[in-house]
Amino acid sequence: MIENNIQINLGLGGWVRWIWRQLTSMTTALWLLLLLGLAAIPGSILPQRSASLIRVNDFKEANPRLFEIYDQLGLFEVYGSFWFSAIYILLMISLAGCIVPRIKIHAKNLVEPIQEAPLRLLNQTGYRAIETNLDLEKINKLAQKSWWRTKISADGNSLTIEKGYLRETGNLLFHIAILFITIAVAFGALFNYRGTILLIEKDEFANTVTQYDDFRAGGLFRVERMPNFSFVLEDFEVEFERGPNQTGSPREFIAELAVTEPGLDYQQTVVVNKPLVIDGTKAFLTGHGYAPVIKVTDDAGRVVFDKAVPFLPQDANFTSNGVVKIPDANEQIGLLGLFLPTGVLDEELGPISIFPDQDNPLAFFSAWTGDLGMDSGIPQNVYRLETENLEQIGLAQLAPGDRWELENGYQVEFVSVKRFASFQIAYDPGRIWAFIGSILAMVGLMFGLFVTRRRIWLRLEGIGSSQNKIGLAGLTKQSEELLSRDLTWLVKKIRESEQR
Amino acid sequence: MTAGNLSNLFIYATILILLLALITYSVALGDSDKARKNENIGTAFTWLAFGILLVAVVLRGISSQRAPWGNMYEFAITSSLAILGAYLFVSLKKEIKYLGVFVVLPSVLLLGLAVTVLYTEAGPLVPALRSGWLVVHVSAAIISYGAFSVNFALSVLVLLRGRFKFSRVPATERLDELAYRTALFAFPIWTFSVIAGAIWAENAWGRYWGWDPKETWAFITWLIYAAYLHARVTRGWSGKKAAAIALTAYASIVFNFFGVNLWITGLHSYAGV
Repeated sequence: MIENNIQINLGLGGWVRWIWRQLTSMTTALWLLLLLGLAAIPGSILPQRSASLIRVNDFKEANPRLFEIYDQLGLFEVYGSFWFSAIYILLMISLAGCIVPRIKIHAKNLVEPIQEAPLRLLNQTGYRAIETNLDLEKINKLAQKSWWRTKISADGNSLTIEKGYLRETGNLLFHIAILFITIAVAFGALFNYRGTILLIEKDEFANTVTQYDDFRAGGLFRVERMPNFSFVLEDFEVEFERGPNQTGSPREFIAELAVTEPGLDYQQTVVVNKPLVIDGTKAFLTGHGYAPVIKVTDDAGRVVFDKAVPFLPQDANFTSNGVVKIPDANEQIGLLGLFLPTGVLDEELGPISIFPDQDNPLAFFSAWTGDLGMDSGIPQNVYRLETENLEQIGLAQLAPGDRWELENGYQVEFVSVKRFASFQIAYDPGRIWAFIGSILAMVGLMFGLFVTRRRIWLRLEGIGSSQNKIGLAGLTKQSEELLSRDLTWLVKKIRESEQR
Repeated sequence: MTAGNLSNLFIYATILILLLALITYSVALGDSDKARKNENIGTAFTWLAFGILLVAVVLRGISSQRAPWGNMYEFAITSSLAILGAYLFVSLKKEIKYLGVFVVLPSVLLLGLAVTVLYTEAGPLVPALRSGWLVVHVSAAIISYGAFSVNFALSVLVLLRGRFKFSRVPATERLDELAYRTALFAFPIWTFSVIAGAIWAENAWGRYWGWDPKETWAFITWLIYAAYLHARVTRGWSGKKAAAIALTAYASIVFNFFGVNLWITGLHSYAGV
């Protein structure tokens, strides 16, 4: 069969070459670009583990079977999935395969002497002839002064001048920079770490892995690399819009930190868009909420719990949910709480907050007793109370300062309300390199797109007693408009320098 | 009357004038006899609308005492301004008045959506947006949106040219070339906007790239326009194929503005709707 013959004739080397040629062709690069765009879409629509584990779990609970299939396909971790990686790695290989030969050609063009002018200029772009008393040698000097690359032919009758090498240099720089950024991102992902913390007013955070609520690090991250510091959230101020427009919109978040580094104590104000920076690690203010202070005494009058408990906000008006677990009392007690900074009882929606600031702080608690399951060894979510096997022993509405007597003799006191601030703490050694790569890409892009490569030929077409007849024409692949402007410019320049 | 109210009034005036421009441009497109005259009238209306819209946007900025890019409404009216601006700017240098309908239509639609669906009263910025990067990042995005819109209009014409009899629409090659040049202008600005956004994200959220839906779609847009620019220098891909890529790219911009802001939860949730 003919097809088989072709296969045999190509041989292994031939196939490799053929595949390589296909991969590095512009059409393939084009399809890969479009394919990468397509592959990025599902990650913007489905929740991603890297962004929000909670939303991924919500999806799992809502569609358990679909979740299984999607998860197999890596749709909850699109940007780390094998197929997404495969596309961009192919694209990078295609890119490298495309630019390496072009770098060689460009280098050769830069070093090799430029071509001499054709014999006849008459039918070339923008042809015109002038009479001048300058000779080609003088014009050559003029052009060189204006940064043209020039060459006078061996016989001295023609001159070629060229400009715009920066176009290809820019093009190559741009593509190399894209490769560079990709490597910087990968490098950063190997050594970075990032985590979130939730800090109640007056509490302290020390930068160790165990103090984070969630912590992620790259494969080559070393704990020893974490800078040694701690800070106390001295004060946290929040302000919301009280006017008629955009009521309740956040207006101001200000966190006052007392920072301790080895041998150094200082105060630092952290606001959104202005992080605390220590040794490459940055702490960003990313959110906030309320932490009601709750005190529980048992039937013997012994204090079994006295702490501020962070309640997680559920909506823009900070209707917040929280849980108190008291496992080591005589009787295990759990409280399910709902905190409303400005609480009202809505006829349809029930208890709800109508403003994010504390205008009418209210809390609703339900008390539960039974085995909280905290000794079972199974890790528990501190923001969740599984009430399935518990018995409800009361329900109450409390304002700060209120006390509530449970039927088993325990007493719950809603002491006061504190605020908490959440911080994202991040370190990524790749970012500076990605930044440098971006700047180079930008510079390369500007040169690559807006510099025009053009060539002008001049040929001595007649020698008179005082005047030479010189023909001019040019060549460009891009802007003929610019070429014609260059020709006009050159003629003007010649006229200006003519000896009178 | 406050600056904010005056701004709203001017927006309505702009919509009215743009509708007039749309009518005269449409007439010019179908009727070759008085095409030139009608195109000129349409362009005069467009200039007028641009001027009034500019005042409206500035007044909006004055009434909120900041750059008017804090929510979807403000972004929409400024983008509409940029679309008209990009078209009028090109029309000063090139004969592109045949493009009128395809530029005025999206900008008037955008304004219509702005006043009906997206409207938000003027107010100060939420803390997350309070940064010098807002001006840099968003203005670059808006300028490139304007230019990409002209590219979109030209690409639509490339695809429609063969099917309808338009008067005064030049040859495909010419449209293609102009479309390419607008993309050449817009692409680096878009690239810059994405980079500026990354720097800002690094300052505000602690990571320069996190595949937030808005970032993802900005990246998708970037990829498709990169493909478009490559298509133009690839044999057999200019003309209709390139135009199809340009339309896809523009669709990704539209989705990033409406789809991502309104339907998808992410960090860029400043719609204020």
